[in-house]
Amino acid sequence: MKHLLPLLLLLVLGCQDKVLGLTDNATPLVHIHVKVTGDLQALRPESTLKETPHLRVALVWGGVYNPDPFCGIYQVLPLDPSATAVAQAGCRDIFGFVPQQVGESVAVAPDGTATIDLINLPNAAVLVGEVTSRVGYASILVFDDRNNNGTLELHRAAQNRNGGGPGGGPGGMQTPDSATPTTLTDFVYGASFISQTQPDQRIAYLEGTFDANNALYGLFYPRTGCATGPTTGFSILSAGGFAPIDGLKALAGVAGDLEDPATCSVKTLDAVIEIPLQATETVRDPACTGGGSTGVIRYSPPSQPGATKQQPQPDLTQPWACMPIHYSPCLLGVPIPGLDCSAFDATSRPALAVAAVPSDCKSTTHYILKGCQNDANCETPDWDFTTAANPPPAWWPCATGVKP
Amino acid sequence: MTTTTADPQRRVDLGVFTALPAALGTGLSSGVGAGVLHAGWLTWGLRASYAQATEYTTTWATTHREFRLRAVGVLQRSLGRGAVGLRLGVGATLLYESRARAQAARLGDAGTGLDTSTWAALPGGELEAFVALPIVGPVGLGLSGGPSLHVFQGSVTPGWLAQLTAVWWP
Repeated sequence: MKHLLPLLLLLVLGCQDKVLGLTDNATPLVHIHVKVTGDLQALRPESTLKETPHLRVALVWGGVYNPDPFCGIYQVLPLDPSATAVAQAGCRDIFGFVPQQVGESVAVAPDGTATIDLINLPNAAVLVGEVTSRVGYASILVFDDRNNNGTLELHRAAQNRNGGGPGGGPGGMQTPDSATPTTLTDFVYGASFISQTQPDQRIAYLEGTFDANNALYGLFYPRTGCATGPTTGFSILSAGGFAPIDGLKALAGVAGDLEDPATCSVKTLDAVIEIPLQATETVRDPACTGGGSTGVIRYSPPSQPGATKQQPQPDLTQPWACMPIHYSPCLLGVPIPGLDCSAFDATSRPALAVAAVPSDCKSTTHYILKGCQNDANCETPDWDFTTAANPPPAWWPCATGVKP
Repeated sequence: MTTTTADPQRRVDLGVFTALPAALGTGLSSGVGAGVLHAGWLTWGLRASYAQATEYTTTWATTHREFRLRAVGVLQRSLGRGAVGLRLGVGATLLYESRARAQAARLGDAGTGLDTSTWAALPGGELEAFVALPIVGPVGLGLSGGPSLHVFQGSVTPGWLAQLTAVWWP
């Protein structure tokens, strides 16, 4: 009897430790094993050498990216040297990985290893498909967490009319060798998935079953040609990459396999993802947001309508080109079923495309003298610099079409 | 002509019960409660209640189901046809905790396998003020409420409870 009371107390109080209530001690859903290889010190820009590097890896979920037609055409097809120069300088890789959400991030150990404990499932914003079958892809980014806040800040292209310069986005905008850095931007030194035109290892998350014939999947980082798709839950997909021209054909709806089946693989997360370090200048795009790309060109006026002050003009020391109003598939010069190119005049080039000043993220600004932001041929133009009363700015280098 | 009168020596009640969850820290636990009371030289009784509450964090949905078992001592006095008083209850609260990982069902079996559950018992007690009033013959309404205490993981956690019950004087 004398032992009954302590036993009862133990019974009553002993189990309380297992009650967790609202304690957020979430056990990881999965572990992602990473091995970073290479010498960071040799790759660091000179301006950062006085800093203590904080090398980390971050899981970054990819988003849908719709390149505008100018970048889509001139980045791949050598139709016009000046336009190609603008596209090379001012367009991100149209087949590149485009980040949408930054997930978990962990420090890289001195031996180059890191394990990401995934606590949360990707949310619906980064999944493509339907509730019964949807997929998301992520890239593992290796970065120097220069502001040491434990996570990766994505960059975005500058939105100002000069096409670049400091202060354009979270984490600031600066070049790695900037003498006067505005803020300590995180520099990316490697990624498991940089571009579909390069060999990649991507983290896939699939709900339901994967239907390779789903049209949505064919547009979202497609792997057509690979025999097997992602497995339900998490998996690591690998592919060898495809040629840009093949990717352009796929975007245009021309059927064909993109990947060499011999380069494809599907692994469980037990596998280690090896990521070689590379110069940060060569791996900027995976940390640049898509900027809400919609697949259409957004035009800007050469000056603010009604402005009395002198407006800043584009930096014409950067690559620029005078272009037709519509960078449509008609430029390809081949008949495309359902597309009427009879009214298209490739010799008329009243639009100005200017690449942004080199920075964290590439961008191109398109100017027209008359039109609207979303439609150069809108019935009621938001601006019109083609009249005698409101002439084009003196610096305008393209055709003006000014009416006397 | 005879009239039915309530026996002031005994009382049985059953009704709705609400309380601050004993070990969840926030939320509103709701359910049912019942009790019996015997009035002699010592007024005493037994009470039991079941209530549950679910709260959410970014990663868990936590449900606490509480079974409160109490022995009560009562100080009361008649007030018109009814009674008012204080009720001190002491006993144990059996707690069943179930935690479901947020969104884990999207992972299928691998996700639901992350859910946890456990039982625990918490010493507890409360001091309630009450009023009981017969309305139709031996049947009436009771209203009570007051502060409560539980001993949980080495510390005393305060709370409160309230009950609205149908009362029967057999």
